[in-house]
Amino acid sequence: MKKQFRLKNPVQIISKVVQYGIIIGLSSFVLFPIIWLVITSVKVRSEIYISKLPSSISLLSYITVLKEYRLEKFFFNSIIIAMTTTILVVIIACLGGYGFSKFKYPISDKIFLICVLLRMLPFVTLMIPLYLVIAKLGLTNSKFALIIGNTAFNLPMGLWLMETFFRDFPDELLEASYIDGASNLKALINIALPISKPSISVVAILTFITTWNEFMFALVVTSDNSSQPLTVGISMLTQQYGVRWDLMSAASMIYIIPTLLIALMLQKYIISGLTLGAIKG
Amino acid sequence: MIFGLIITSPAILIIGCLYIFPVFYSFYLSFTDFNFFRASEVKIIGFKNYIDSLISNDFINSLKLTCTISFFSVVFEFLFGMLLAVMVYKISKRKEFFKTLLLIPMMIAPVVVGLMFRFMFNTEFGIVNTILMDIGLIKESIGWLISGGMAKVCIIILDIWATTPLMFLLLYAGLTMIPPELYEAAKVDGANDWQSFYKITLPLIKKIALLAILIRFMDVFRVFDSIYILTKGGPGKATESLSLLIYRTNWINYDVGRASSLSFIMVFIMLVVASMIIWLSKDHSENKKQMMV
Repeated sequence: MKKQFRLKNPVQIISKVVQYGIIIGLSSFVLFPIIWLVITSVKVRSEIYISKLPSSISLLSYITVLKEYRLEKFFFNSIIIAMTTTILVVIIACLGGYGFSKFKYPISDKIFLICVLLRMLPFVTLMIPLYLVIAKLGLTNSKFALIIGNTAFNLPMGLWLMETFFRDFPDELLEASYIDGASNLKALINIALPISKPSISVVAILTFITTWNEFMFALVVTSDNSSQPLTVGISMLTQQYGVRWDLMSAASMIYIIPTLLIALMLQKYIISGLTLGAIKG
Repeated sequence: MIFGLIITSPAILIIGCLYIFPVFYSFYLSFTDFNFFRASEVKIIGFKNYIDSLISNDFINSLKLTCTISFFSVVFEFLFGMLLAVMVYKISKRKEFFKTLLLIPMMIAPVVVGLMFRFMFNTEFGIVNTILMDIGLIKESIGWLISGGMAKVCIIILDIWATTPLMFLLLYAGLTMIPPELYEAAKVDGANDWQSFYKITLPLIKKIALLAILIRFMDVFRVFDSIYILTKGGPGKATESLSLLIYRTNWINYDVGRASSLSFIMVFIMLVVASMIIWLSKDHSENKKQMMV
């Protein structure tokens, strides 16, 4: 390492050291809680309350949380809710975004603006009346209610991302397909959608992660493990059996692994989705 | 045109049924004494809910707390995010690696984050106390989540941990949009790093920075999940944010009318602060135009 720096002046070396120092310092602040969670999850139960590295690695917490607590039930609920919501949001947002950007009709701009502005609404404001409606329809404690709710929460964002994308989509491509005799719907399915795969992925990934992590709505709408997602399941781990930190850490690990995998594999899409607003706005 | 109407109708239908109607319904309820226990007899009571909410101690306590948390979280997140963005922008190697690394906290559910911090800040066996005692900073365990003041600090630390990365990503995206030639020109003119940051980076990034602050403010002001898990608003009501107060009013006291009025007060406050931030960013762009001319 020193050889590389020999030719540079000391100020440059110091500033390099400071730069990496700050980045590594803040990165370890970011990573530390997660590493501690991993370590806790493989400890034997008697060592949980001692803040030291484990003397041996045990997967007992994982086995207990799956066998006794039946965590996989919550896991499958979460999967079903997040998958269905994602599919619904993608379909509706694609259709809507395409329509709002390419097939304008009177007041369609205003409707779109309202749809997008609703994203600013705090969850709680929406949740009170939505809960009343769902209770009145007798849908409490059903996955269906959670799917509807989450679709609603994620739609404004999806709609906005898709509209932004289709607005820049070249009209010539579509016109060419009309000349070939394609209908509006065919042009959308055969021409527009295949090209917009990256944007669709952004919407899908962000919707999936938001739904996967959603807690408050699930907390008020569901009441048993036939429909409760993992967030609620884990939060109950600290109540039903006293605070079982060993089970909690194993359950948390099982819970965050899917999103971490998504984050590591598809980080480009996520970053572009999260920053698009700032750049285009 | 008809095609446009048809393909946008599912979105309009969902937004109409699940946003517009509920919000109007809730707005109507905020003027009534609707309660889950006696749902059959609903009276319109005008602004009584709003007045009662505004003068209640619980509301003032929650408002103070939410503002405190929002202020400190956003300030620190901005400082750390900016620091990270500038540093990662400057280094030449492993940019992608650090970006991926910093993405991780954003992917973890707030529920899990809350649990992690509750475990780490435990008075008896939390790692935070253990480390602080090992390096000799403190002699006795700190009751992080037991004392009201410390619990607030924990919530702010949690929020900083969880969302500095978003701030970083937004500011980093802003930095990459600044043409590098500007820095080179400044270097030729003999400006040092600090001067070029102050004279080039800050003015050009101001708009994105304010937008990032706006996005973060809107999120942190309605924070629920992590506080619910970390302290449930306790000890006492020391960490009961506005969202938690509304949750308690609606789902524990079943006072729907009151809760609705609280939620609209919250929306109003957010709108006021948001328009202030937007106004700040608009004001700047006019100045810039003048400077350019």
